[in-house]
Amino acid sequence: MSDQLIRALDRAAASDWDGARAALQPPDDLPAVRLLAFIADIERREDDRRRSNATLRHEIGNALAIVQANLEGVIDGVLEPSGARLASMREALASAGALLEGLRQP
Amino acid sequence: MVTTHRLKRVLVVDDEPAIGEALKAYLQREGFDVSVAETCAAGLDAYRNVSPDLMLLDITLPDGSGLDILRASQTDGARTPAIMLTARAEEVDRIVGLEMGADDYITKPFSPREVVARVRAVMRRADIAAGAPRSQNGAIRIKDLEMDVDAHEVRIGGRDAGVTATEFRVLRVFAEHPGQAFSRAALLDALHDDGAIFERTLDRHINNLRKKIEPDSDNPEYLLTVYGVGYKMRPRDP
Repeated sequence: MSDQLIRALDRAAASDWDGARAALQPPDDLPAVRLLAFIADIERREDDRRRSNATLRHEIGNALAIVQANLEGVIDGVLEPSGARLASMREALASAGALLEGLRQP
Repeated sequence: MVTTHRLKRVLVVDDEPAIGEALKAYLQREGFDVSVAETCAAGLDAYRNVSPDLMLLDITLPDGSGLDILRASQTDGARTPAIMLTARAEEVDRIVGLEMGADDYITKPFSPREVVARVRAVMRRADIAAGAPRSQNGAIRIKDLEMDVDAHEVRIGGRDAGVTATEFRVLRVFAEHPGQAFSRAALLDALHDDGAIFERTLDRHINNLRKKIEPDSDNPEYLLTVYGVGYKMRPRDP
């Protein structure tokens, strides 16, 4: 295994993708080229995961905000405890539940 | 003579009607005149029509971002105070430190009572800034520091502090917003920097100002360090 590859793998083991990529410039051999492609793939997957988590946080945060704001409003006497309000809270909770259920899927 | 007091106007922009309605009810109960919009486009329209005193802006909207409304308000030069609503922790970093020019942020889910408290706090700060502490001759006065904007002079304990033009510009931003923390980026933004002041030279200007206005520059009483954020002018004495 080349010194270049060892340096890059050390950086990759620390999740230092920029450092690993820099260590592979220019790639000395075919394994180095393959490792560069592998790093790009990992980074893409990490980006996808971050985006997916952000969307989940947004959706669940919104659903819980609906429930909390309306429930507190009713308790504080600021909002009427109407059927429509209760229905919107139930819908928000169901939406959060569905998102959590989705997380359990493999 | 009859004196009328206009209710403070708050614009709420959130794409969830149930959230907008709850916030409206709480804020109205506190005596605010509240408008609610559910999209970025409607929020921009409402901003122009209502001229709010404060905006509560959800960042993620179906047709854009609450930050678009914030930017539009800043280009108008009105500098309307804004509190951002977000469920995304990764957005907080951009908002905190006031890089985007927001005054505060609240993460979802939130207690509407907490929102009302934050609205009051930001409005109080904005009111203080608008009516910055001025002495009879129109100069800004904070403890022994006096800043005469018209004469372009800074006096400390009655003597001329001898600040440079750049130091004067930097100090003016702080003096007009006592108690408000500025990140370096927010300070440059407030200075409407034309390139004459760079982020990396700001610390030097602050250090020089401290040597000129502080009784002890190692233990500043006026230009205070806000760790992790930047600097602020000491608040007004109660």
